[in-house]
This record gives sequence, C-alpha cells and structure tokens, in this order.
Amino acid sequence: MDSIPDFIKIRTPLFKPEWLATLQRMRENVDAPRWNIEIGDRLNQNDIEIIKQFESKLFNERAGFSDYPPDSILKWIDAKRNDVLYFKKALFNIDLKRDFENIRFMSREDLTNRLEEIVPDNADLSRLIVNSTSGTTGHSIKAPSHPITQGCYDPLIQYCLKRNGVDERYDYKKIAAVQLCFQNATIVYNAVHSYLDGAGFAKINLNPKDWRAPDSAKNFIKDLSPIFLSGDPISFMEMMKQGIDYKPKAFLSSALQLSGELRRELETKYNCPVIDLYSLNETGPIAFSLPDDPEYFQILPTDIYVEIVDDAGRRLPEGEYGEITVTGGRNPYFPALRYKTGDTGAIFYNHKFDGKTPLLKLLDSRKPVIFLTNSGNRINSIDISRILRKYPIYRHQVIQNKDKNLIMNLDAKNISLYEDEIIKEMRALFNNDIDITISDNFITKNSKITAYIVE
Amino acid sequence: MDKGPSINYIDLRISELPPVFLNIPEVIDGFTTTSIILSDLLYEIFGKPMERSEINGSFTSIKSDLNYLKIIQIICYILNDKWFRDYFKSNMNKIDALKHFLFTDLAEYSKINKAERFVYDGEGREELSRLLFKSLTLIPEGETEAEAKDRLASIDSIERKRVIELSKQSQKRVKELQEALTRKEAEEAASKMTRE
Repeated sequence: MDSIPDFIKIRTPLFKPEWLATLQRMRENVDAPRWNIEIGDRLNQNDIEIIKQFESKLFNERAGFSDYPPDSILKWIDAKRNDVLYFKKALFNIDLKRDFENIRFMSREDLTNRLEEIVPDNADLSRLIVNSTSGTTGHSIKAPSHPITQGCYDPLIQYCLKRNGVDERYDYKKIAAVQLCFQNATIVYNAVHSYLDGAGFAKINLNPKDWRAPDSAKNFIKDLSPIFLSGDPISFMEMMKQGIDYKPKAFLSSALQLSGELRRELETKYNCPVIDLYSLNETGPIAFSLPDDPEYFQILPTDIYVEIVDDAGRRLPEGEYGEITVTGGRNPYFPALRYKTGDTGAIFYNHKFDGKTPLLKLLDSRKPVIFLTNSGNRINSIDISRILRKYPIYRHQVIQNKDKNLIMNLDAKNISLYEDEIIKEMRALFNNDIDITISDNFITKNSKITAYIVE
Repeated sequence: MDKGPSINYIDLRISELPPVFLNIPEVIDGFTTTSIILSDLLYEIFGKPMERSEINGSFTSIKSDLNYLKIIQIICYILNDKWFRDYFKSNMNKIDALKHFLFTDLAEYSKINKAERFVYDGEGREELSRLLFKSLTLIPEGETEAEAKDRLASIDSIERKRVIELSKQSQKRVKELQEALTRKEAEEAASKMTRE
C-alpha cells in the first residue's frame, strides 16, 4: 500500500507508506477507544534536522551553569534584542555581562496581555500552534508553540528514559507510548512520530464512557505493548483501580506532583522506573526526577537557565526556596526571559549525581487535587480548568467544602454575563448534586493563591 | 558614584547663558570657533587640547553640524564653571567619559533636539543637565541614584522617541498576531507524548 491518505499527509508530512500498519494497529484495534480528533507531528525534513541538532547538544553538551547565565544563554538573549519588542524594552540600559539580575521578570500576565511583544517581529506565524494550558495554578493561558518545539519533546523524553536505564530503539513496528488521562472529557487520538521513525503513540482517556466494554482499555494497552506509559498521577491511580496490569518499561508522570507513596506503589506493582517530569506548556520540560533520589529533579534541557527568586525579585542562593524562573528554551514564539513559572523550588548547583546541570527540589507545586461529587465520583481538577478556560477569567480558585458544595472565586471582567453558564456546566460535571457559589473572596496563603482546594 | 551640584544649580547657570553661545560658529584658520572653544576648555581642565583627528572626526561642516555645534557650545559654557573645574582637578580620569558624551551621545541627541530647547525650555535644560551628570556618573545633590535614573528616564528625549516607535510597531503586530491566534486555535495542535 503506497498511497497515503491526504488527511494523514497533511498532519504528518514525512509519513511513509509502511507506517500505515502502525496507525491501523491503533485506530482499528477491536478494543480501541472512541477517537475524537486527528493529530500528527507536523514536522518537515528541515525540522527533523533541527531536532537532531538539539538532541546532539542535549546528550553531549551538558555543561551546566551556576548563579549567572552561561555565555550561550547571554548570546541567545542578545540575539533577540532587536527582533523581540519585549526584549527591546526589558533590556534597555542593560549590560548582559553584568546586569542580568536587573532584567524585569516576564509573567503569565505578559503572556496573556502582551503576547505580541513577546512573539519575535520576524516570526513566521504560519506554523503557530496554540495550546491552552490546563490552568492548574489558577490561570489558563494560551501558549503559542511550534512543531519543532513539540518535536523536541521526543529527545527530551528519551534522555530521561535513558538516565533511568530504558534505552530502546524506536521504529514503526513499535508503539512508543500510550498517554493515559482520566478526565470527564479530553482529546483522544493516535499518531506516529516521524522523529522516532514512525513509532506509534496513542492518547487515551480511562473514563469508562470512552470505551466499548469494561476491559477494553486494559486489552487495548496490552495489545499495543507501548514502551512507556505517560500520564498524570490521577490517571495512574485510575489505571491501578481498573486492574490494568500491562507492565511498561517505564512510567513518565507529568502535569501534577507525583507523591512518594504513588511512586513506590507503581514501582512495586509494575516493576519499572517511574520518572516525574516537571514541565510547563509555556517552556516545555524543565527537569526530571533522578533515579537515585527522586526528591531531586535534574534540569533537563541544555538551552535554558533556571534561577530561584524571592517575592521581592531577588535571586536566592543555592538551597533556598523561592519561585522558579526560566530563561531560554526552544519555542520560537515564546522566548522566555526570566519567566516566572508560579512554582516553588530550590536549586542546587553542586551535587554528586551524573550530569553537570543543576538540580531542583520542588515544593508544593502541581499537587493533584481530586474533587468528589455527592455520590462519591471523582472529578479531576483538569476538567474544571477545561470548563473555566472557555470564559474570560483572569484567575480562579475552586474550593470544595466538607459538605461537598463548591465556592468558585473568579477574577474576571463582567463575570455576571457568564455566571449562570459556568454554574450550569460545573453542576453538570458534578452530576447536578452539589451547590455552587460564585465569589471573588480569594483565600491566600503566603501571598499565593492555590487554584484548587478540597477541605 | 560622586555627588554633583543640584539640578537647580545647573538650571540657573544655563538660564544665564550669554546669547553669543547660540551664535553660528565661524571658521578661523580652518577651525570652527566651537572646536577652538572646546579645545581651550579641555586644555584648561585636563592640560591637553583636542587632537586634530578628534576635531576632524567630529565636525564635518558648519552647515551640516550647526545644531550639534551649538549644543557643544552650551556644554562648554556649563563646564566653564567653578564647580566643574574643581571637580575635574581631582577627577582627571573622567576625560574619556566626557569625550564620549561630547562626541557620541550629544551627536545623537542633536539629531532630535534643537540647541535652543536645551536653553529656553525648562525640561530641555533639565534633560541636558541630567545627561551630562549621567555621563560623568554624578548624582545630583538631594537625590538618590534611583531617583536620578528614574527622572532622567521620564524626560529622556531619545527614550521617548524609542517608546513611541515601539508602540507603533506593537499595534501593528497585535492585529497580525490576534488573527493568527484565532485562526490557529481552531486548528489541531501537534502530537507530543506528555502533558502539562
């Protein structure tokens, strides 16, 4: 079979005829979920070459850094002075060799309200991809991205896997990964990745209503035999609850903080490494948990500079907790310049582990929060974010009281216009058996607002 | 950073500037009167006159550099003051900073400011005074370093022009980007194996 359907070719330009069987193995599987979208990697040959160069640096040039950005980062910033409006403003009167700490911080607010200043003047917008962030920290934002940025996830993931002893060759005869979700609704798709020579990938939702029969998800995963399983801790808990016993070569957990308890349970039950990936939509992967001591996360890409700052914006020394701030990256539409992530952590430059890049210790970031309906059904906070991001809400905080009723603190313009609609959608998510109050009386702790609280 | 006199002190001095300093310079023996005044001043302050290469490199013709030459003349008048003469006696190393100000910074400012603005307009006088202070790393009396920096940023004519230009570019880009975001949001993303 050598004719490739257009709907595939458009989404995966480098698709080869022999990869069709890989796609069919997923999409036409007797136990397949209800696929609801077509997605490809959108990579062309030039992109592949760029990702290869990125991979080579990722594996071979891990020089690390200490308390001032290395020359590579300073050069990267300097090169953007003239074609990124945000950089022009922020770097006025700044001598990069000396004044890095005087550069003002970039925030989520800049990304929301001044994106046109952050996207480079000469950027070709034809390849723009828009990702809405889940808003687990209280803001949902539209983060611009590029196929190359997304494509670089493959070598980044491979680096984490190799450091955890999983060194595999990928091709179209294998399924690289299945990503598990456990949500009320999400996109569900199958794809092949050109960078991994056509290896398959499926994103599935473990919500029983997505499947034909109770054992379908279990059988589907087993039949695909993916090298690794990715997902968030909530989906892994659900996997165990549903008795899915497929043993991958590794688990890759992201989006939410993985507890030590769940890690140990997964490691024991499935007898494989469990890697926690600290990654943001805006910046991509930042750090991964070390196999020898998963409390520590090693900075993963070599094209970012990470610093920790306090509330007053002062750089904190090694070991002190503050806000994680990122500069650099590989997103041509979002050059991060001291971007404040909203997450708390400490940095360690000197350590005993392999690789020279510094370590991070994360604190109270990305904690998974599970809400309950009155009848005891579990609701993932991501489903709440999914509803809220449809509305022009600047910041949100959802609190479930002991009596199961919800208080939704919403910071938005003209909220009264959307209030009824939000309540209607939220009540439907919670089986119409709880009361919802909308307010703007945000609860703060240490000057921070937690997006989701279950009392 | 050293303390300088107050901004009012310089403002008063400029307001007493004899009109002759705004006259069109003449050419005497192949030199403009501006370069002669400046060279004399530098000789008195630093014991070294201007070099011919500096004169030739800085002023091409009276016609093309008239405004710039007038501004140099104003600065010569300001510097020919007891406070500055005393200051330079113990700060001979400031000659390079001063020359950079005269031959590089002022050349730029002269492109967007009339010399008369630096004499007859209050904000113009303050801007010129603060630019001179900045070049010599002096802080005006009664101000902190941060206050001086903030105040200059708010009246700096080059900075103001830069902000206006940036704002114009920004408005055009907003429209393009909003259109692209709306169009692309409706399309599918690209596959990746983890989520955030």
